[in-house]
Amino acid sequence: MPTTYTLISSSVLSSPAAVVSLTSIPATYTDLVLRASMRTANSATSIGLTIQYNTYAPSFGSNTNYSRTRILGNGSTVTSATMIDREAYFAGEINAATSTANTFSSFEMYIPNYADSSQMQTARGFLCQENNGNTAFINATATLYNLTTAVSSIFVFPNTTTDFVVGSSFRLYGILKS
Amino acid sequence: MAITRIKTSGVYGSKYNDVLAGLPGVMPAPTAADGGTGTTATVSFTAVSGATSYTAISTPGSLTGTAASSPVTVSGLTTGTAYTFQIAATNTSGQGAYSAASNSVTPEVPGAYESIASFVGTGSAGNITFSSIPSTYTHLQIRMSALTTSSGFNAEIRFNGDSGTNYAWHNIRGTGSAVQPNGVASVAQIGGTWPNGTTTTNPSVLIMDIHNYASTTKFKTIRNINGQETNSNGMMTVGSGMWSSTSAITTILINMGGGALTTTSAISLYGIKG
Repeated sequence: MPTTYTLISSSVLSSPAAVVSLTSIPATYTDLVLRASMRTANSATSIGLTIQYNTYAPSFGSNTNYSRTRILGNGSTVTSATMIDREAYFAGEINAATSTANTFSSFEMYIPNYADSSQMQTARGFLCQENNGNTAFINATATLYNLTTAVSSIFVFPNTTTDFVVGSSFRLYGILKS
Repeated sequence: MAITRIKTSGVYGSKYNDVLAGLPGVMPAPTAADGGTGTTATVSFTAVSGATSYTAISTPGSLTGTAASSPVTVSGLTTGTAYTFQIAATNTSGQGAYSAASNSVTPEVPGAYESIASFVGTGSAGNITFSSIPSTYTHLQIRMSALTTSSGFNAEIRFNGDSGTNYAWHNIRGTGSAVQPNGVASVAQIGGTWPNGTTTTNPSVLIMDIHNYASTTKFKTIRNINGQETNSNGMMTVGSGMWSSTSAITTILINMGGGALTTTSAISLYGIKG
C-alpha cells in the first residue's frame, strides 16, 4: 500500500544560511507540504519570509509571476492586503534578532497539484510569529504562481539580506493520492 | 575440484544433486520483508553449518547483499517494484548454489504521519491528558472533532503540567459578520483558540500544529485552525500560541473547563516524522 505522507527533504541548519533550497522535488506525489521553524539574524523584531519556485532570484529582477492575498492579525488589529505580479511569494513576518530569545516562527505551506503543468500553482500558507508578548503576527495567505509550470524546486529566504539562524528547520513532505 | 553426488529423498522419490566437494548445499528458500526505507529489503534464513557468510540476490535486478548471519539486507531496490530473493551460503571452499525464490516483497517509503494517542468522549466532565509523548517525532498535531453535552465550555491547553504564566496566544476570529483580533500574554494557558461547545449535533473542529516539540533550545510556537458551525451562526479562527519554555513537550493537558465531551467526540494526537 502506498504511504500518503512522506518526508521528501529535511534541512536543519547547523550554520547560518541566507537561503534554503529544496531542489529536485520528485513529481511522483500529489501535493506538497512545507513545514518550517525559523528565525533570522537581522537586527529587527521581525522580517519578511520569501519563497520562490524553480528559480532562485534574490535580487528580485524581472520575474513578476507571484501574487498573494493575506489576512494579518497582530493581536489588536486585523488587516487584509493583496500583492500582484511580484517577484516572490511574501508569506509574512518571522522572528529576527531582537525578538525574544529562543522564539522561532512556525510556518506551513500547502501546495496542491504541484506537478500539474496544465494549471497555475495555487498554494496556501499559515505563518505564526509569537514573541512572548502582546504583539504577534498571524498570516493566513493564498498565493498564485502564474505559470503553468510544475514546481520542482522551492527556495525559502528572508526578504532582506540576512541569514536564517542555526536551528532553523525546513521539512518538505509529499502527499500521495492513494 | 571433485564433484560429489548427494542423494536426497522426498515425497516424489529420490533425486541426486551434483555439488562441488566442500561447497555448502542448497539452502531452503528464505523469507523476505520490506526494509522500511523504500529501497531495501531484509532476507531472513536458517543458518547452515560451516558457512562463513550468506549472499542474497534479487529478482529482478540481481542486486546482492551479504552478511555473516541472518538477515541479509539488500539495498538499491526501486520503490514500488516487487522483488523475490534467493540465498546462498559461502564457506571456505566457496559459494554454494542459490536457493529457490522467497516470497515477493515491494519496498515502500515509510510514512511520516503516525497516530500517537486518541481520546473518545465519555459524556462525563473531565480534562484530557496526553502523557508520555515520545520524543521520536519532529512535529505534533492535534485533531479534534468535539461536541459537548452542555453549552459554553472553552478548552485551554497547557504543557508538562506548567500552570505558571508562561503562555501567550493570539488569534483572528471571524463570525460571519465581523473580524476580531484577540491576544494576551503572560497567562497560565493557551486559550481563545478553541470553539465553544454546542448542544446541537454539529461538532466543532480543530487542527493544532506544534513544530519541534521535542526541542530543548526553542520556545514552543503553535498554530491552529478551528471552526464551529451551528447552522445559524458560526465562528472561524486562525490562531497562534506560545509556551515560553525550552523544555521538550512530554505532556499535553486540555482543560475542558468543566465541559463534557459526547461519546461521538474525539481528540487525537499525531506525530510527524522528519
